[in-house]
Amino acid sequence: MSSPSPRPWPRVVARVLGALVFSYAVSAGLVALGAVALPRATSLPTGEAVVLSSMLGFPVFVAALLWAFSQRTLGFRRSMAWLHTWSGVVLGGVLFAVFWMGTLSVFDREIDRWMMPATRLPAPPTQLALDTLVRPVAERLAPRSSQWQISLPTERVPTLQLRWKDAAGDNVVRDIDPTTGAVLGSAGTLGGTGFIYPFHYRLHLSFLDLGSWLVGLAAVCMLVALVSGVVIHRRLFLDFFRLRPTKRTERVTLDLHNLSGVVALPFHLMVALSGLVIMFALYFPSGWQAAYHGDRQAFTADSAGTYKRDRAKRPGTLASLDAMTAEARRLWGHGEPAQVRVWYPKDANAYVEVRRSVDDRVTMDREVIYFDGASGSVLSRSELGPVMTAQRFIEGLHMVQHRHWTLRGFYFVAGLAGCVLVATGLLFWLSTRRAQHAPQPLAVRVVEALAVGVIAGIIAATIAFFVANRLLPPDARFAGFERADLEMWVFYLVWLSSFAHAAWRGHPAWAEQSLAVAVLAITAVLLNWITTGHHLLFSVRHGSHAVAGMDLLLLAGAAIAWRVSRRLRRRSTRLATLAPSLSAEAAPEVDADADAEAEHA
Amino acid sequence: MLDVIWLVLAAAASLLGFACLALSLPHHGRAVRGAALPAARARRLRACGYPLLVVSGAFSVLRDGASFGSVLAVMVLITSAWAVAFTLTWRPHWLRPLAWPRRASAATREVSVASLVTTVVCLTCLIVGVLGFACPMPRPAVRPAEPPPIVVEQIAERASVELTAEPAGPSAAPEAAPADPVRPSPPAHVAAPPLPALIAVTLPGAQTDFVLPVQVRSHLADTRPSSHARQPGPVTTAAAAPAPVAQILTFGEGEGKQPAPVYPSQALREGQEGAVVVRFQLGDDGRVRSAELARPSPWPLLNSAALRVVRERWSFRSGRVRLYEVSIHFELSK
Repeated sequence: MSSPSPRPWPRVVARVLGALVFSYAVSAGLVALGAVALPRATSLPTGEAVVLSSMLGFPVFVAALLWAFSQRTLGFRRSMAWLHTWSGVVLGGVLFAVFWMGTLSVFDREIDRWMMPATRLPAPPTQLALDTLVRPVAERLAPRSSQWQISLPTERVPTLQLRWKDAAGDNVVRDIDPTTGAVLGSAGTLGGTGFIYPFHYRLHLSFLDLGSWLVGLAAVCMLVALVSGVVIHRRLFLDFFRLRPTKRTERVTLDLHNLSGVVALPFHLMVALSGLVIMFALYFPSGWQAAYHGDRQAFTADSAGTYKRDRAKRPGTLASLDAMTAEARRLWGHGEPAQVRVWYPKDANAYVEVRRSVDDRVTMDREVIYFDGASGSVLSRSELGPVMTAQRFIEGLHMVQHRHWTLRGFYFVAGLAGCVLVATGLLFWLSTRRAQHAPQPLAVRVVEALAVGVIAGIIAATIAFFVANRLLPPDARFAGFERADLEMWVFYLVWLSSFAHAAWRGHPAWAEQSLAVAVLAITAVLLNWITTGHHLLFSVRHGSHAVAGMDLLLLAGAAIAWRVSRRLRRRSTRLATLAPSLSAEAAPEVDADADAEAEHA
Repeated sequence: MLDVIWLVLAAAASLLGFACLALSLPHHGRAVRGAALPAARARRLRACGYPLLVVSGAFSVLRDGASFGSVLAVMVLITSAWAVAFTLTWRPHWLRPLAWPRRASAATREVSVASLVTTVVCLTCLIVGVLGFACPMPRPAVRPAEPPPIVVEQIAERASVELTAEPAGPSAAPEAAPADPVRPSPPAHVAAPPLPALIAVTLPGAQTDFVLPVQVRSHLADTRPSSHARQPGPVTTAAAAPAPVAQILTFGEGEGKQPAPVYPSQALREGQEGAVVVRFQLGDDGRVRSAELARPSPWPLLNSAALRVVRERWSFRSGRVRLYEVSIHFELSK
């Protein structure tokens, strides 16, 4: 599987680090060079040049990595096989977590509705009076905040969401019923948009942006694994549709790996690359730092057309917000405002951002019109250049925030396939390890426990998070933690204990944790019924599709998990009786490399 | 409803296409009908499969337009490939009809069901697709409603009134250089003896540097709009917005694609000449959303030719909503 002969580990690690540093240095250098040189050589504006060179930096980085790892002595294909294995295994756990949370994030707003029963409201009215409905609330709740922001209700989020910064500088969100103007109580949960979605791109590790960097590295690993996987797959077209569940486990695992990877290759390439492109300013700071001498704000103002002005430090009054949204609607021609943000509400230099909804197009251009707070006249309009528009198009491709349920459904399915791809890759590697390291049960046990925790554990933890959401009383508090924090702790504790359980139980942990997932999922559906009275039929009949869909998916997940656990248990009992003969067979060491395996077939 | 039909058609075409491609592979052929298909039939199946995938993509694009449609096309193809793979794994006999007849005898000219069905489906899909492209359905959710077209007869009436009131269009502006690279050459198929020359003319008028986009609701009777740019003032309501102001565009210059109109052949024969001032509004996608005659020429044929080219063939960079006015001169080279 790995190199043909065992290598000294320090040399391998040094080589990997060297290749990473070399590739990053090359690509970051090229990005900086492009950001500075392109505006001089062509008529491209500086902001656009920075975005363009940063976006091109990612393919350059991946190509440099592939080049750095291809060894002439080993042959291109074999070195790619080595790279495929290790790029998938080293960050496979992170990759699975990112894929899992990303797949759930496709329906993050629906998860929010399920987790925040108070916001399960009927469809919002089309005409809203912001001046009478929202402004008094905002002025009451956020009297001292330097800015507050309203998200207007949509099909997916039926409440008005008011966001502001409190005295400590923390972001606060409150939902307002758009028909009555009543402020709903604190949700007491982070929900899908506050926990699952940020987990997807920064793993809730905000220290030094470590989580984002880890996710970025995992995305690069994904790209490398995809490219090298295509190189080492000898029967790409012949085995395009092949799945042989009757063969032995490794064969099925590999078939599933190929089927989910090859068929959805465009999707996987797209999500990995677009995920990187979305955060280009973080991953390639060299571009904007070189072109703008480290002034990030100047860069965003230049590239995205953001407008800013300081306080006048004189009191002022705010003109009608409804007039501003009406004017914005008129200026856009068609398209609805999605967000209204008021800067320095009580200052003479107050200004208002009205952001257009991205419901009707792929490009997440976030078109903004800036109004003068006092007079209500237009101050500025964000205009994107072609490169920035392309970047925002790629962003839209990744985020599916449009009003397009069909596409969202397809993304969910393809995201699950991505989870299958990563999981089967890990499992295949694990089964070959098991064969190779038969005399070292401890190593196998550790690796298996990690795999169980990474794959089954995170699924169980997510569903435990949902269960905790329905179980904790509204004003729960424990050891100084708020309710939302407690839910998060449940997630992390269940996840950690799944590792411990796997280490203790060994191979049977797969079946047991699958069973736990099934039980938890059914419990979640029942608890939703008990605590809110919204059982499945009720949700369907009252048109709350978000809740109904969530319940249905939980039930489907429970059914699948239960079947998986039963099959695993049956097979493990069968294997136990066959164990002596099997271990004798496993003695001739099979280098069950992905490509060697394909040749056997 | 139409959305569902397009989606079902796209899914059906791609399922069928992938099924054909899968059956042409030896091991799947064996699984479905007991023996791999002969090479010639496998080739024919492949020849049916690939076009069906293209047709499926076309349906998706028809459903959702280019940007959403192409994403949808890829996702439909991916999921249907999985569906075919799962069918081959658990219900391979479902695909047996595609591989009929089971044993083709050399004597009879074999017409396999797969080829027949896929050819028929392909052809109907293509016809439907072509029809769909030719007369695209309005999609209210995505596109705004088209403004009602200006009736040409009306223009003719108006034009005759204008003719008495104002006999000649403003032709005092200098002629554009003949070698201007930006200017489109006259269309090749108007090869009538007196070769028409199209001349770009700038209308005299104050230049406006920043124009706020406005709604077009002006009538044909509107004369030149006031030429001062709109000052940002307090916004009260949308209704109180000042009169629309158009930016003057020199034909053939500046941004965007501005192909020249075709000189109508009848107008060519009858020696009709004149300037047509067209006022048009661009959507934020850079397409012409509406166009109307700001100052028509005395000749209805010329008016409608100018309107048609602006409405149908001109496109600009996407950006904000803009209002432009352009003067198109139809002049016969002597």
